Amino acid sequence: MKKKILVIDDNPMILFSVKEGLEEKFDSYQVDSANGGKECFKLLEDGKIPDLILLDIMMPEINGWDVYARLQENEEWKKIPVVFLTAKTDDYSKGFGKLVSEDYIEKPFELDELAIRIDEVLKKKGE
Amino acid sequence: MHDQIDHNAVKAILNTLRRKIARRTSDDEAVSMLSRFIEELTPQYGFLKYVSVNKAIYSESESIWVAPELSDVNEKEVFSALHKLVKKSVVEMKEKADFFFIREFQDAFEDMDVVHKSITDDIPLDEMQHEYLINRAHALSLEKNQLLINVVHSLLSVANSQLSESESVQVMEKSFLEILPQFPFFHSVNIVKNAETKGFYTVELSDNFQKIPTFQFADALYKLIYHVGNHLDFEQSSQFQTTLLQKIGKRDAELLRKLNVPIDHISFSKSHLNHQDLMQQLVQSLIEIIGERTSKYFAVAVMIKMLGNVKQSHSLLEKIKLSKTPDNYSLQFADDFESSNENELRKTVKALIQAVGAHLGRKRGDFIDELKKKLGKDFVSSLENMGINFHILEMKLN
Repeated sequence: MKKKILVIDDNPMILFSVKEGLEEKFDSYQVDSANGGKECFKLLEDGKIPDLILLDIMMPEINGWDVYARLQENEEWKKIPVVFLTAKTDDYSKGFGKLVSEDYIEKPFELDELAIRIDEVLKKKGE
Repeated sequence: MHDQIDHNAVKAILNTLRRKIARRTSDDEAVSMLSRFIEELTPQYGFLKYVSVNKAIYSESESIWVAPELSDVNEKEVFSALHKLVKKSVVEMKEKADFFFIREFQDAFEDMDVVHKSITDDIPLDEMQHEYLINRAHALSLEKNQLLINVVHSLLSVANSQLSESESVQVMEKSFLEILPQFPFFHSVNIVKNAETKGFYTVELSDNFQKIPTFQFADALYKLIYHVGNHLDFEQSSQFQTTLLQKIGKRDAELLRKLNVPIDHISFSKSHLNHQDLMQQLVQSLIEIIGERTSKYFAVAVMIKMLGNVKQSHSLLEKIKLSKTPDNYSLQFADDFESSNENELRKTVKALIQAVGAHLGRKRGDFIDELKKKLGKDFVSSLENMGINFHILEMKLN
């Protein structure tokens, strides 16, 4: 069964490359994309609960930090593992991001590396 | 037990020793002293060639380097060399190597799990401390019973400068109760009303304090002074200090100094910070620090998660509930939080700071500095008096 990934980013290029890249190169993922926090919550409210969320931080309207915080307020959503996928590479952001997320991946990233890290998180969650 | 000790652990031990020596002498002297000791001990312990003390470039954390090859040397041998280094330092510093030197050195490892067991097993610090104080007590011809009676009397008298006689006794009794778990021998101190003089209370001892180990006795006196001072309403610690010194008298004040009871450096928080205030301020400060770099909403979510994680090993956090409100957050405490054990609170505070600072890498020093600023002087002082060593916490991060 394919693993459902939800990627949240305000950059359409990232959304496209993650979705197409993961789905085409690897047969084991089904990727939904959300252009920002609002779209993400709409998908979740519609019952599209993914196995893992890839979350950008610097987004207009609702930033990734707040998206994360809001996910934690819902009993079902808070169980979804979150991986930050971001260009924010300062020590504080990384440090605080790693505290609560399953992984913190810096942009730019390699698709193969992304797939490996996603699999590691899902494997850990499955155990 | 491991047969080898990691070279980084040895580096941490040596740098701690260097800092403790520097506090009593100077940075240059500490570096030069340790270089000389290492040179002297190298013929006996060849592996000390892997240790280099950097005289030219002094840096707070990295003036002593240890090569990875040291990790291959037998642990017993390494600790034997370290023991000699500590002993040499004590001898060399003479009067400057006080009781607190060995204790501070020992305390510095309380939180360093990697080396704590080994250092307490293999370097007889307790024994060294005891030996030092026995020698010192003999030299001082210390009459502990008389000294204790005078200190208690003086404290009562200081309290009486602000309070009524009965209130002063209450403050003393409250202070004794607070430190009884740590110093049960205070059970045998009795404050009784002197009917004959119709005046002040007298202090009687129902046991002989002469047998109490001197280092413990000195520690107990300091804690007693600190707790009484904390209950009184002096504007500044220095006012309490001056009044107390006058009451104690020159001879016993000198005796206390020689026992390294820091009567000239008493510092307590002006406000009486209770457990709830401390925890509230800590959580609030951590939320602010995280929130300024991320978002307040995220910071609250992080703290909720951290409190949950740390709760697994520190059940005191069962008594705290942090929740998000529409615009802010609320922190609620169980009714019995205030009566929680201070030792438990200390461990919980440390664990929480470590949990939040866990991944900060090069920023860990900044994080601890900023936390101290956010907490404020009174809170930092209270936490330090409770036994939180911010420097050690910084070392433990990462």
